Amino acid sequence: MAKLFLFGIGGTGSRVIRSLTMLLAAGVEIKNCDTVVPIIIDPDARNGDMNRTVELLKTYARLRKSLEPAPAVGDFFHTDIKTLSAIAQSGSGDVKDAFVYDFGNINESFRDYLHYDRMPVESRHLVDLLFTPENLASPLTVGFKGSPNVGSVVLNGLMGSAEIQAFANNFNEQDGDRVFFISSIFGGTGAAGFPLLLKNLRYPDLSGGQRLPNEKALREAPMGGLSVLPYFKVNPSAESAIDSRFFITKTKAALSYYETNLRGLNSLYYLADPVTKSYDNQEGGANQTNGAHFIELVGALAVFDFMAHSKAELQGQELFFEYGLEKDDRPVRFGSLDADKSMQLLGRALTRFQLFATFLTHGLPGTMDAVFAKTLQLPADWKHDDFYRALRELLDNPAYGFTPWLKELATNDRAFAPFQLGSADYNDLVHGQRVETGFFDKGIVTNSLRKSLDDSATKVTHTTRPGQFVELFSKVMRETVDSKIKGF
Amino acid sequence: MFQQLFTSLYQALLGTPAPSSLIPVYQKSIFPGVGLSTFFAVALGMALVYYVVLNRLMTTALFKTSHWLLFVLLTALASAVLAYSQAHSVVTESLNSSGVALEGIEQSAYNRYVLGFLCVNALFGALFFVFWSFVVKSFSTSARTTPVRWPN
Amino acid sequence: MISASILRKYALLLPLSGLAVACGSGGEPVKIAGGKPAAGAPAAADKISQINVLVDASGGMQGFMHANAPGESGSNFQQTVAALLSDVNGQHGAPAAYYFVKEATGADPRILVPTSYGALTGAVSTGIQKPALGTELPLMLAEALKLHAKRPGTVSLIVSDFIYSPKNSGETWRVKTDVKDALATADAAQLAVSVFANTSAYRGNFYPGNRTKPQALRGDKLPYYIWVVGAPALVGQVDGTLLKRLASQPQAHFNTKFAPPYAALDHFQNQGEWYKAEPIAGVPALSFTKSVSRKEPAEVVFGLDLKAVPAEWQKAAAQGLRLDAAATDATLLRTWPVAQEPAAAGKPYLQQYTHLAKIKLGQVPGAGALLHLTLPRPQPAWVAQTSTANDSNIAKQGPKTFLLADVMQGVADYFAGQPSAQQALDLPIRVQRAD
Repeated sequence: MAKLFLFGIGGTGSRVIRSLTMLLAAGVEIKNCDTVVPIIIDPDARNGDMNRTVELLKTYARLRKSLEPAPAVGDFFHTDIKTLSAIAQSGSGDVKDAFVYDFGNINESFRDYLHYDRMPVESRHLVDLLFTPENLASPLTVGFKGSPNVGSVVLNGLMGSAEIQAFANNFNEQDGDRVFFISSIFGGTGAAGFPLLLKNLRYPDLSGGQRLPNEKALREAPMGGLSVLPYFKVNPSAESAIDSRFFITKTKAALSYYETNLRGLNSLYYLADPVTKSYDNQEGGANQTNGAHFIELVGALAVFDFMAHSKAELQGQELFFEYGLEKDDRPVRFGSLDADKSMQLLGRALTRFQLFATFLTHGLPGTMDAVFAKTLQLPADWKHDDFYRALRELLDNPAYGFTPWLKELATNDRAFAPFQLGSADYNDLVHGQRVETGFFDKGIVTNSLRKSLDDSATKVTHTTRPGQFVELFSKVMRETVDSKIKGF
Repeated sequence: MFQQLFTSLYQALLGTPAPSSLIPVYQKSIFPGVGLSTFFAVALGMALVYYVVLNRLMTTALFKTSHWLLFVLLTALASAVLAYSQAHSVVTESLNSSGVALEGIEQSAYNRYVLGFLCVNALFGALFFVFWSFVVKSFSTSARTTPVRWPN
Repeated sequence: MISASILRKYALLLPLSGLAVACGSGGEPVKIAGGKPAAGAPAAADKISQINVLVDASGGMQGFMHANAPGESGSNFQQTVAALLSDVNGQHGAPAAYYFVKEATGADPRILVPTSYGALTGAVSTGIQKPALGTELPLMLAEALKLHAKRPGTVSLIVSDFIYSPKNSGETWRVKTDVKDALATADAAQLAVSVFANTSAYRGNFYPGNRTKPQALRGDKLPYYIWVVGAPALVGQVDGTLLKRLASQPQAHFNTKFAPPYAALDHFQNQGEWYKAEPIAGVPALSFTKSVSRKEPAEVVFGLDLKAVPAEWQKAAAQGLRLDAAATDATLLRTWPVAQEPAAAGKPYLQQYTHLAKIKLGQVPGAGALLHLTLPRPQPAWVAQTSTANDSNIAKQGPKTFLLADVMQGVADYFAGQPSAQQALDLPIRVQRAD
């Protein structure tokens, strides 16, 4: 039961995990692993992006629980996503059953957090040297607002937590567990937390911090990281401490630090996009909800790439990766991706899932009395059963659903718009890859989908109805996309 | 065997044929002939058309119960037409071969009975169609749960 | 797009065997004895296996077979018998045999001398070569019946003047007994005799039955007879075919079975719920549904085609037809000829019948019943008129035959104990309950 421990640090971490979850929902295969354990590190408890991602993860986990035994590899939702406490087997009484590390709501200012007033005079002087008065005065409720120096201090406290202990306890090298860190290099939380976490997890004995169980395993385990360079701007604002004019400066500073001090990472992925969209300048909190960006989706690809390398390939290595689009298109379509890697990972899976979502919205209401629906007892279950409610949430929730996610991707800059959104015409689903129709062959229409579903409805083998549902639709969507939509 | 079976079925609802001189014609050829062709050709044929042709070989949206009910109606109609035309042609042929024509009371008795016959055959056609539906529905792709899920 | 409309198929008349119930005997019509069908009557052969033509070759027949001058048309006898022989020879149904009938002599004890068609017809044309002195009528009959005994299914055509003159003139009272004895060698149930009378010009010596002196006649008409002897149904067949040209001649029939076509007319003046069922062994059957009762009786009209039946009987049928009800309450309401039926004009299916008989029935017993439409045998009046006790002066008397009445009485006596001989026509009808 190989696990991937995914540390998503800061806003960017949450957003990449959001894209990754969508891809896992679509059935993209994550090699060498069957369970993903996301641990989001973000002291800003009300961060909009983080909360969105957490809701999404909770919905996915809830949905996935109804699918035991696991769907086949390649089917929708086949990868499991569990909280740390769910996979923990020993000594996990203190670990909260959540995807987020609970910082315990730090309400105080940085100055009070440091117990500035109780410091000896020398330490106070040192602190004054390192931190601006604004830094010291700023409340920590909303993260570190682009100040890695603040972040690094606070995050150190993380290391003593029950969560990290539980993580180390349940890290099983023999199963093939791995660790991956996702962070931005130009922010506050991510930039600070990533090297900190890496150092403390990889070399707990050397970091001077808490000792951890399984230290040897942790030292040799495959670990990877994604560091996202600037890909958006914020509008200038006097009230906010964040200024995107300084993103590049901060990036350079962090990179020079990584060059000398980032040790122990087997694979490091860098991502950047010179095209920049300006967001509202929100320091943090519930209003920090940036629309999903294509970069985050590519960031998720880094995770798949990392997992695709075998343990042997990563052992003792320090590999560096960058990403390049095949065609510098705006908006990005499937055709803009490189055909042998990115297209293979994204193209079919996303199309299948989008076809699935479109059918459930436009086609299912009219086919509730078809054979497949009756066989799965959908008329009774669709509205009330837990699984289907979770599914509908996952697909349509305006905050974190799949369809809004695609819309955000399509309206962002650089946009990712491979699909014709909102339309019920299945033949035009993928831009540039229209399904051929003829006199006798109408392409993909509700009737043909319904018939394929009817045909396969009696051949599913799963033991639970949600499992049958997923198996059936995965199969039919796969067959339909593979046979009718050319160009992948 | 079929002669007795269908004769009993029809006569249970219609009584003995009228005019009585046509009783042997009805009992020997019309009842078994119409009965068998309603059961096998019309009802089974329509069931196969609905379940296998429309909902397996072709891709149509005709899987709903309302469509099935339409087919029940069509089958009833076809059965009625079959009954009437078969009765008419057999009786006419039988009378022509002996050079007789029906007159007066006999003619109206014949008309009354034939009308009853086609109504009863419409009913039987519909019932047979329902019967064959349950036999044939497992061969269907999109209509195997029409009108009800059992026995699939 | 596959066009699929398999909506209507006609499975046309399925071959079905009807209810085949065979009750009662096969073949022979059931005899009447108070309405109960006789049990186990053996089936008669209904195919003629042999036709024997016997021509009386006594001197008394010579006068019929006289020589003719060129241009003469030949006597009636010659024309009729020659035509008859020709028909017999020309038919391919049964083998034919030809015989001269003569008396037994010491040299040749045979009564019947086999001959060929050519010789016989030659004799008819030009005369018998060596006529016999006289033929004994009873012996002739007995010998003919011996041939029948050898080969069942034989029909004999006997051409003779049928003048029987016992050797002892005091024994004329025995004529009918002798004739009866001659016939008695055969079983009356399986024998029938049809007598056709005709007259022909006679040239030559006429030997009276009185045994008085012979008379020379020059063309006076004398009667001659053709008897058809054989099984009842076969005689009826032959009467209707070979003897058709004599249909208008005086006839007498004893136990001859004619089988005129007859059937119920289920669309003509029919009342009540009944229908024509499958005939049982050739007997028309009617099935009555439950609604037939005394209060609502059924009425059935039967059509009878009596064209092949002797004319005398056709006339008798209109008045004399009877119904044997056989434990039902059936009554014969009315019998009338088709010619008198006004509705017959527009109904072609009635034209094939000559008579109509309407039967009323109010109750059908559980096991069914067998009704019989019968016509009592009419007594032919011409026999008495043609018979004479004294034919010594035949030229003055006109065509008469010596003791014809006694001869015919002898035949009648022979058949007296045979119930089926009392009915000229016996048409069975089966009535049963519909199931």
